[in-house]
Amino acid sequence: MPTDLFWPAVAWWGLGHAAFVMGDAARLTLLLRVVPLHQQGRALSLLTSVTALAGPVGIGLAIPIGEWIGVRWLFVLMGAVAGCVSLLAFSSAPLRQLGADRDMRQASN
Amino acid sequence: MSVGDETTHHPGADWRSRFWCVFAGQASSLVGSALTQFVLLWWITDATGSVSALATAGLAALLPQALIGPFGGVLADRYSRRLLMIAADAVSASCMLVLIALFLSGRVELWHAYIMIAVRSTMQGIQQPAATASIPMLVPESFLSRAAGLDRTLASLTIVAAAPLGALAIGTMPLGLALGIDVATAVVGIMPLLVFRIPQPVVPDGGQTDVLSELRDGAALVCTHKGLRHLYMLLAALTLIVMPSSTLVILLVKEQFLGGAVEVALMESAAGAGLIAGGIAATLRVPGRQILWSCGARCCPRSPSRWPH
Repeated sequence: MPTDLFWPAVAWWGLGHAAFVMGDAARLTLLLRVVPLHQQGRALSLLTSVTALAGPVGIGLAIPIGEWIGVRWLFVLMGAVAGCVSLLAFSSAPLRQLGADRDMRQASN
Repeated sequence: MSVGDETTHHPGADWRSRFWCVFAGQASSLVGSALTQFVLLWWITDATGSVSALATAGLAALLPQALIGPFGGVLADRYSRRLLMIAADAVSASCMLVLIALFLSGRVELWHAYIMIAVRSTMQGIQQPAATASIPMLVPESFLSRAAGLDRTLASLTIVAAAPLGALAIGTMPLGLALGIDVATAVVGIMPLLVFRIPQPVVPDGGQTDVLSELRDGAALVCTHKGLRHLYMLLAALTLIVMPSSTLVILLVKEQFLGGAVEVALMESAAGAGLIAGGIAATLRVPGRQILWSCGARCCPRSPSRWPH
């Protein structure tokens, strides 16, 4: 990877963070809208636990892969797989419909 | 105050002053806690120079919150969220006062700092779900997107500002006074909660049993609803895939861009600027369909390493 691509990498790194926060705010809005009010504490803390567990597992998997293909291609792989998984998520009808109605809250009343 | 109909909940005409006061108090408390956490970690590093001491402090900061987190969610659904937030801040501030007294008397030991860090981590595990679950009780539906954007901006600010503000505090005041910032900001966080009430949601008949049953009930809620189940699986998968980038970016800069500490700092500055800018953009813009934004924005491979949900 040419060293003169450092500044584009810095810009992309900043852009990635900005996009992440925008997606995360949308995720939080979605959960606050669809989960019944009296169960939101549990739903939110469960998500925190799930992602808190997934992080170390990811690092544990990335280390041997990084040793094998090098850090450059590890970043390429992480970007490509994350992009594919996100795009694949659009194919889930229940996920696309989440937040389109208020079924969960109405069901809880 | 209870809410009669969950689907038509409105926090009342004076919701703006109540929300902004509570939000400003929580912002103060969170930034103060992050700042003093940095001060404590710096003190441990300076006093011991030991990797294992720092690793123990890191464990004390992460493990209690991870373990208590699911129960914190149940507590937030069972009891007054306002009182839980007050209690969490009050316990943290009281422990910090004891630690300050130990510092001033010269009798402080390393394990005192570990306990302080662990207590704060435990209290955050209780406070965080209570604070986030309070948002829809404090604002009308039309403001929910902006409130979530503000919440994420605050989380970003906490990550970005902790180190520079902590360094500023260490450089300009004695350690006891620097730690006192946490007590002062906790008091600022508690004051609005003493003045304003946070409405509690109505629990349907049979909805409140015991803690373990309610814990299972929360897991069942996510597992049995297809949309939520897919969302949680997506978020877990993306965290698993992109989380290593936070840790390995230093290696990328060093090996691929032949950079040093300055280049790493530039990358981290860009990350901090992106976090704040993204949070502000999310607050100002009101997306129509959150799920499209949530999936679309996450195509960008990045996840902050210590992200508070």
